[in-house]
Amino acid sequence: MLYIFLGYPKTLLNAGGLQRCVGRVEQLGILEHNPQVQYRKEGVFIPGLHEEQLYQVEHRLSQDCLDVGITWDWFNENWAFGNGVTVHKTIAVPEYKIVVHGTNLSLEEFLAWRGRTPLAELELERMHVRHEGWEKYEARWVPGTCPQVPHIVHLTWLITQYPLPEFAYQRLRQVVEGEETTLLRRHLYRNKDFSAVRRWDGR
Amino acid sequence: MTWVGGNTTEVTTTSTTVVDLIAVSSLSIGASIPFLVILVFRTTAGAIADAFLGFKINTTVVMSAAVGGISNTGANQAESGQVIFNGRGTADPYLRVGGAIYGMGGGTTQIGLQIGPDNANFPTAPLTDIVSLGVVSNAAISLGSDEMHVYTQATS
Repeated sequence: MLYIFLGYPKTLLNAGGLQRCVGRVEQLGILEHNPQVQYRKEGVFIPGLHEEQLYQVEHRLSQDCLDVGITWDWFNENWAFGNGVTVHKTIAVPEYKIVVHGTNLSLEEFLAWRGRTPLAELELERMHVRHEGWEKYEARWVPGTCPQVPHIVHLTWLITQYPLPEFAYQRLRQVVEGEETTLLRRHLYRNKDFSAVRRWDGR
Repeated sequence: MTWVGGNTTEVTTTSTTVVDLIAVSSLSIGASIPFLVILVFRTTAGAIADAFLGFKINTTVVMSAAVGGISNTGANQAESGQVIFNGRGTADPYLRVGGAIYGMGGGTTQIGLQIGPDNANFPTAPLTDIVSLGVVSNAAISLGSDEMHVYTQATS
């Protein structure tokens, strides 16, 4: 069973840390680690040269995912979820170009076409270039929800051997998405179970 | 592409089958345009185990995360490395133009190789998604990756 949550775990646990949380520390469920089991968008497969589909994917997207516009359709064809625990990110950056207002020509292209033009007659604007890559990406979101600015979508997913009972699911959701979640028996985690938050201001 | 800031906290996995790690989407790399992908990756200690990285373009795996590809040394130690994957928007008959170089190490061991493309042609449609793939051979170790940047290069 595939469980997908929105964001990087608020507790800063990385994949190894979440695995420890689900297993040894809180005993919420049994993760799938069989190297003969690969979850993909199209189903659950035995991977390899002679791959074989085992069964359909059973999945549960958290309410936070649905609220921001991420549904099962958000995931591309041939998307690989693997097994175990994964913290994933998708990066998207809209491209802009400066164009002469009312055209899609850059200033250079406009001058090459029109010739000498008084500066007072020119009005420039920043245009979002909606090329094929952006259109395809935007179409993955529920209509109207795709952020129109550079952004990163962090997703955390876990694959368990069996469906989790509701209390275990809610605890897991809290560990990943909860704003002020306290980790139980914190002393059982090691330093390597956490990842540092890294921010880059782009300058 | 120009990234203007935000949370770039690393991705990690304990998956023993191949998984999508970092996807750079919303690209539009046309035929014959050279591109370059740079990313860093690391593995934790925990077991004598392998970790592999690969790449997918759009929906096609062009470099498998598998034996013979980009990997750690297999030793039970924390390791880190960097990969440079280069390629080109596909135009017939140049259908498998790309490869990777990487170096990784930890403790007193290190590894580095040049890797050729997989047994699949690069997609001939515009390249819209470049995805790094990862897998570990034992869930007792984690594979982490971050700072994936995609650059296209001028052709004139």
